[in-house]
Amino acid sequence: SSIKFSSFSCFIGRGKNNNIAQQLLRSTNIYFTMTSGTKRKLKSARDERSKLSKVTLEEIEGISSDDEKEDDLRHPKRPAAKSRRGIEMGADNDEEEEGELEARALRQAIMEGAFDKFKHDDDSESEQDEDDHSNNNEEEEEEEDDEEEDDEEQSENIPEESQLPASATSNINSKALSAKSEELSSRFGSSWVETFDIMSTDPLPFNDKYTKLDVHDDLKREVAFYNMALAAVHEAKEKCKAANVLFTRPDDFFAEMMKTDDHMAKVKDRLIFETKKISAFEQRKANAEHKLRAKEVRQHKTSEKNKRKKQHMEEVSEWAKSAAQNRGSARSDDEDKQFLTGMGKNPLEKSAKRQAMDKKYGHGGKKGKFKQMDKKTINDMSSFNPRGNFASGGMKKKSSMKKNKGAERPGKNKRMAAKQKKKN
Amino acid sequence: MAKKNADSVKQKRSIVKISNRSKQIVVKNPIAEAEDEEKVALDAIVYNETADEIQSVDDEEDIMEQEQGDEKEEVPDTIRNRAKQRCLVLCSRGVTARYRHLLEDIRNLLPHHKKDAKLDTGRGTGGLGRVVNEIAEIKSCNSVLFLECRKRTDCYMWLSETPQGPSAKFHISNVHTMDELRLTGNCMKGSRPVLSFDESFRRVPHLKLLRLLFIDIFGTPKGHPKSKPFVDRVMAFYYADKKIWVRNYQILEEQAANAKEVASMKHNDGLSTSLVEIGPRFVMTPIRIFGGSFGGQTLYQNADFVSPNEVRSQRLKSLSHIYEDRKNAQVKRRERQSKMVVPEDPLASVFK
Repeated sequence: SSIKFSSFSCFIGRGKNNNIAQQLLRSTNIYFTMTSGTKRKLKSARDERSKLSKVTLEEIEGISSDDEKEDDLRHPKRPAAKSRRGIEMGADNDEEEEGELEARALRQAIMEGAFDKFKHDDDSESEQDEDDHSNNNEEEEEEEDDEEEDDEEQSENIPEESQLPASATSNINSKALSAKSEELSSRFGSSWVETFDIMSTDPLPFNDKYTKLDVHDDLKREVAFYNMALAAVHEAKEKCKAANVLFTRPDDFFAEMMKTDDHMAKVKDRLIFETKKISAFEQRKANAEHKLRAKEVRQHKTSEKNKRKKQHMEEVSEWAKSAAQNRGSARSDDEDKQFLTGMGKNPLEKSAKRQAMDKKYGHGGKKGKFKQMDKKTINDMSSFNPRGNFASGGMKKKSSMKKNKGAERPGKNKRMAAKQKKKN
Repeated sequence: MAKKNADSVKQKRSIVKISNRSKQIVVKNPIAEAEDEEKVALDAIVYNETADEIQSVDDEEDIMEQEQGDEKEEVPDTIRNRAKQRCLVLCSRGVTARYRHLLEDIRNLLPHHKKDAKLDTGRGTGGLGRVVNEIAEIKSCNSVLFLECRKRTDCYMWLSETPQGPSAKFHISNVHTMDELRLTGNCMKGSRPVLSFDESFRRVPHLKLLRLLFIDIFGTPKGHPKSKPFVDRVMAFYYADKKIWVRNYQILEEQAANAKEVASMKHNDGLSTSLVEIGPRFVMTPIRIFGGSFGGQTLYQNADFVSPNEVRSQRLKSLSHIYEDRKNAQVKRRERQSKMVVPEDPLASVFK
């Protein structure tokens, strides 16, 4: 077998079909070191053949379908000649041929049984790989072990796994395990109330082939845990009801709690803080959006205004053009000119603001009314004071014009009488 | 002497009675109440540790039998045994803060625990197992929860039934204690938990044994004086990725706020239950299960377990190649420089 391996090793590191060799090597657990030269060649081969996917033996058989080579294939009993030829050919620089020769040699070697030693492990190894990669049914593994254990009668080490590298199956002494568990369970009473334990009947969805929940997906994993616990609680509640055990804690039942009130206050603070944070974030988002919208609206308005203005100016200029066309006629253009310059507004007309100001402050303001004479007031001598207090005008007499309402008010008896009269 | 003891015990009984009554707001028929009280009192007596009082229990029983005759409730042996569960909870020296807090939380969860000082097994004491077993015997505990911290990073938990029972060693990871503010639930101290197990605990043989261990240690025994009446929390054990995940939830039941809700709930038969996580939460990787306490025949060994030491060494080894590669590359460069000699150009000096 050593000879075969050496002949095999000749072919490694040359040519483009190193992929096959690597595949085989990987599956059969042969580890060997490659020299730097071969590494370089491998790399170059890889670079060249980057597009080539993993080439299987079947594909190679398809490739190497020259007549000569087929004849060689059908005569497997010439190993030495083959390898010799392989070496000779390898001396050429024709790399493709090299590759095919490699493949042929490998196939030949397989048929001769170079890799028989590893066949068994091959299967088990691939099995192991599958188990490791998928979320495995450890149950299967352990059942296998159980069967083995039954054969080997309480021996502790399972000898088969010495060949496998890392993931050997666990060491289980099932008979002793079951004996111990029976011993323990006999300690518990027959009533469920003592133990309060619930075992679910539905398995966790981690090993399910349909849902493929990853154990490392935190959120979903916790949800699965939660659901299972909730189901257990429902079951426990029913069992408690059946066993007359009180389940629900009434609100007024005071007892010492595991976490102190201070701690719960901190928890509450944190929860409030988190909700505030969320709401602040949402508020900020809403504001930003609103701002954007408002800006859009504003822009829209101004654009509309500009459009209108532009249109108006266009109309005016058009009118001006048409007016200019009619200029040569005998009609006077003064009106039109005025109109044009004033842009349609009567220049004598005051603006609303001006009118309001005039009304308020014009013609002497508030006092002005009193300073104007009309027919009535011209012969009115009531404001004449012979003594001659000159602090006159209509305004300042107001306080003295004020009646002394208190003096005019009738006395109590009179008021009462008036009231009585009113009633009657 | 017996009568004197009986009196003292009776006094104690009365004290226990009062305290129980103050705590419980239970509406029951008086006869049942009386029976319950007797039973609870009896169990309470069982926990008193001095020898005198243990003797007096028997006397008390005799007296009770004389007094009551038919009405006395027989406390079956198995229940008595279960109620006597005492768990020794301790840790090794060198435990870091996180695991210390975890231990405190476990002590809160287990009303039937017995505390002990940090264990430091020096040399010549005969090994860890023997020491712990001795301590458990002294404290008259029948189960042990021992938290061992190595190199101040790796935490191992031993669960064991002390006299002859099985024991198990676990590696603890992903610890979140009750102090964390994200775990918002709260429950009564000493309330009996509902223990929920995964379906795998029914099939897998080593898990069947572990389930019983968990029930013994993490389940509060019924009738323990520190236990409270209502069911407040669930302690859930799951098996995934070849590890045991432990979670603690508080059971929140929506109670009817007004008469309308009560009526609607009666109709729909739905008091909506929800769970809030209390903590602590951790992940246990089973390493080995032994037939004896802290030793004995190996019943189960987990071959998938890679010790954290190995993990660390692998990581460091994988980093080592960087230096090696760099050094090799330097050597090669030197070689190449020496080999690559540019031949002299005869025409180089033409255009000088």
